[in-house]
Amino acid sequence: MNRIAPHIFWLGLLVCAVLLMAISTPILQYASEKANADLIKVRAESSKTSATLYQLQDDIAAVQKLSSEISSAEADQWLAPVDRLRVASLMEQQANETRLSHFTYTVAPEQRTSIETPGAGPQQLALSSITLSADAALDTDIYHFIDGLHAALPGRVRLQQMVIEKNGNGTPGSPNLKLTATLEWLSNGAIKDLAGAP
Amino acid sequence: MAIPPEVSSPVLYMFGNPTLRPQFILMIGDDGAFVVPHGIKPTVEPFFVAHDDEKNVGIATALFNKHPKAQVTLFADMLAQDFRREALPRLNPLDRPKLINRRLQQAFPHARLRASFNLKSSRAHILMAGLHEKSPLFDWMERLRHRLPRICLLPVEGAEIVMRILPDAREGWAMMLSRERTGGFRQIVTHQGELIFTRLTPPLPATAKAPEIAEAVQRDITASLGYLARLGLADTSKLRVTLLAPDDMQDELGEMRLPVHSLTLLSPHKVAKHLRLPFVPYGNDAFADLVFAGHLALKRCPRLSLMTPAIREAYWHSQIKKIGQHVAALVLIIALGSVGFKGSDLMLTLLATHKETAQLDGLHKKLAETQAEAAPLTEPLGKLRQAYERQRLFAEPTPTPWPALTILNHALGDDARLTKLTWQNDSGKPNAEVLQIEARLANLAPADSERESVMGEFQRLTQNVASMMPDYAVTLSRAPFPATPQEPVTNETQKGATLITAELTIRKKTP
Repeated sequence: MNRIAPHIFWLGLLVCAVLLMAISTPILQYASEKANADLIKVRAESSKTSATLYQLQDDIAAVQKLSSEISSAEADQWLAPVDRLRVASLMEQQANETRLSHFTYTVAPEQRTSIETPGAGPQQLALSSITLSADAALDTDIYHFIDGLHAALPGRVRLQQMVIEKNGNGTPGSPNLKLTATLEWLSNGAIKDLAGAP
Repeated sequence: MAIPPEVSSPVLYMFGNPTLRPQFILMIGDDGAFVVPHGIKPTVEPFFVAHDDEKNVGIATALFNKHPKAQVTLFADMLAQDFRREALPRLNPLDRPKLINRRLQQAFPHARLRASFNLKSSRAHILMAGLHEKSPLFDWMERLRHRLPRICLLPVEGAEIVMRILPDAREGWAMMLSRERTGGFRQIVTHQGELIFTRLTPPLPATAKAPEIAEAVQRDITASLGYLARLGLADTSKLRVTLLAPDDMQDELGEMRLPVHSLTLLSPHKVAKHLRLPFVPYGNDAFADLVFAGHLALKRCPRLSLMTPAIREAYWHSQIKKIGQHVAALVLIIALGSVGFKGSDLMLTLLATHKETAQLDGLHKKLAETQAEAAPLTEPLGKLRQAYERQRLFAEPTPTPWPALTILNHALGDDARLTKLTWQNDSGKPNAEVLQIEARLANLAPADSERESVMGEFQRLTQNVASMMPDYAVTLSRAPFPATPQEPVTNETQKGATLITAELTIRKKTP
């Protein structure tokens, strides 16, 4: 014991130092890891909140910009469902205006289609095929009729096929041209049922 | 006192190695002890203490106690020390210490302290030293026991002075004779730089005159020469002798007739200055104590250091304690540093988290306020965006036949009339446009037409259309008459075939 006595102080100090290091290291390590995890979590949430805020500010700017370009009433019009019967009457009206005779048409049932847009994501639309035939006296009447359909029908009308064939004897004023055509009609779609659901 | 005032000034003490720790060197002889402080502040001059002078012993002890951290070295210059050179056989490292201990025991059976060291000149030889029990040195050792003094032997350390004064002594035999206050005349004989023989003769009275001293010195050297023959010095003319004597005695000493190689006379003053020792005796000082003390003071490790077992144990305890304290302090500093470093890192992280949390709270608050303010505005945003996209989508231009038909009309001119027109673009892409026309020649009666001429007209028409419509590939897809080997050729009029027509296919070129 007498041999150890002079060394008790520094041995104790050494043991304390080693213990301090041995105990503090894992505790501080754990606390540091937890604090880092918390910091990462807070930063992630902060980043997300900032993004939401920026998005909101962008939305406000977008609303202000869009409001100058399109009014709410116009927006309602652009998004309104189509009335297929009204479309049929528009086609008939257009045929009458361009002096077509024996005008027949078929608007095929709607097919739902999704079109990706950069500003509003995927758009759910309706695609219908329109086949029509008519007799005309002049080819220009036919051209006016096709152009009229483009302008009059709601949505977008694309001509897929057009056949103009001479079938008469060429008597002036008589309808000696036969038109058959196929169009693709992209629209908002009609109301599905009588209850008014789109 | 041998130290002149100017020599003991701090300036001259600067000759000493300032990096060495403060120390007291006690040169202990049979007549007394010479206390030489080195590096002690304030500077204390060396002083002589007779062994039986209680008053001065008390003064010396008080001085030691005043500087408790100064190292104490007992520098033995007594008669009661023996040396012997021994040859050892080649042994392994474990057996060699055992053999040395046995030889020491045999050589100095009555010595209180024994030690040995390897000779630099020969690994096979050791120099053994023994200190006898009855020596005033041990009284001082007991008195200073708590200071853990080390014991050095003057002949062993002084052998190096011989080499420094006489460089030729490294190769051959050399002797240095000096006079010390504490003992008497000390002879140190070296061979190839190592101590081989030492001898202490009693001092002469203080009143001894130079001739008397010269006679005593000559007698001592002559006596030693006879003994050195036994140690291997067969020819004394190879021995170089140096006498440390004051200048005023050198005439008498120079007249000595000795059968040696050379006799060099140097004063202790000159030697101390030459060796740049921290202590420089008077110019006419006859004693060389300070030369030996100064030489030892400059050495970081003495050649041989002796300790009693108890003091050695205490010394090792103190060394272990000192090293242990340093290690413990270092580990504690590292531990505290580590804790501090990691703790500061943690604190920085916590502070950053706190700051980020505060910023997040601010963002949440701002978001809530903005949401509340913008709710009426942004609510229709989705609808507006959708309507805007719908408007853009519906307004996209679609391929129409009009541009192609306009060009075709110009290309046909008055030369031909269409009987059938088919325009097709299934995919809606601009380059998917296909036009098929059936045409007849405007000024051609079917009855009188020559087939070759009609065919040529249609070919010309086709080329004309192709040249007018460079963005389209124009081909005559059906000739007006049978033109391929698979078609029948006849002059009968076909039923219903009133017009001669050909078919052209006009296809948009892919860029």
